[in-house]
Amino acid sequence: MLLRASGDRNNESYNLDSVTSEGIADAGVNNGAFLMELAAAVYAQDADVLADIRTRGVELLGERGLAEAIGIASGFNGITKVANGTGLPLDKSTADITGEMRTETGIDEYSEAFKSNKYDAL
Amino acid sequence: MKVAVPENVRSSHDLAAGLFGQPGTWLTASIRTAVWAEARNAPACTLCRDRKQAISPYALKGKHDTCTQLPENIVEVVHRIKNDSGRLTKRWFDEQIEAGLSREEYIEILSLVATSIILDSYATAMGLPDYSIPSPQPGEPTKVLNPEVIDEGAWLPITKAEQTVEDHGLPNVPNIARAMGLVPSGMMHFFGTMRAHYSLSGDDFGISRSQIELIAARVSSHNECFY
Repeated sequence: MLLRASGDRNNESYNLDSVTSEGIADAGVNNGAFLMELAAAVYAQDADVLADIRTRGVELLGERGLAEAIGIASGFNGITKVANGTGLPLDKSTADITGEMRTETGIDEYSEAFKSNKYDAL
Repeated sequence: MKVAVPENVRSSHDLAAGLFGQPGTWLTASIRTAVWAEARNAPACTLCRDRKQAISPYALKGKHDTCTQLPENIVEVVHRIKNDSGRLTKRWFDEQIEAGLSREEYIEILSLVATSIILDSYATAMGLPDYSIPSPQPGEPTKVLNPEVIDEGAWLPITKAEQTVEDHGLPNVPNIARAMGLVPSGMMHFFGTMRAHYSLSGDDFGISRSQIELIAARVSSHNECFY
């Protein structure tokens, strides 16, 4: 996950827990709460919710920013299937720089070993 | 509220949509277009909805609601990748291979489903009509194996690549770009679409890098993606 690296580069600190938590917080990123709503809406694909997101998004991000935000969410909706569908391990360098953060945020619970233990027993 | 689609996105999506109608490396055009139709239909599947509510996806047996003539094993792969990819495990993958899919066919289906998800997610989110699924063109799959793959701990071999670490801390060729190496045409189909939406480099964006990565991280979390 590059959010932490992005913060390091900008000398800013982000609340990474909010990325995996149930609620909507801004994570310390400008318009972060809205962006997390947008991410959830693109994932869920509810047309009515998305219409509302577009209306608010143009005001908050501008038309270009909104189109890019929707594009990123759509792209990651696809690329996560590639990772999930191949049991892809992390690159070593990625694992090295994100290890602590993955434990803190609970992302380790999405690992192949964790999922196998949880689901394969039944 | 209509939002203008950037030209690079429109052209990459037009190209990607058209490729569904062409014969692939391992699948005919008829199967490729049916995979897209099945992926689009999958959210309405009762079995998938019930499984999603179950503690384990293995807890419920049954038949998927299908809108195509695809064999059941392909329907299972399409629906699980589309609806519940966050709970896929090696056990499930091995079962699909034992049921008769080759690893190369599996990768081509994965590429098609993932690409269709980008196209359909984007259209719905932008308030656009769905792409028309193209008519399948005649021709046979080339069935050309890619020997330039290596076992790196994924369920299948991935593209061989020399890795160096870039300024942003990631390798020059991250594993995700190598994951579908068994079928280079599938890899190019997917990433030709993905690249119009996201890049690790560059600074000419309408939103900040932190905003970009927040969206990416949050969508990945919804998809229960470890990578």
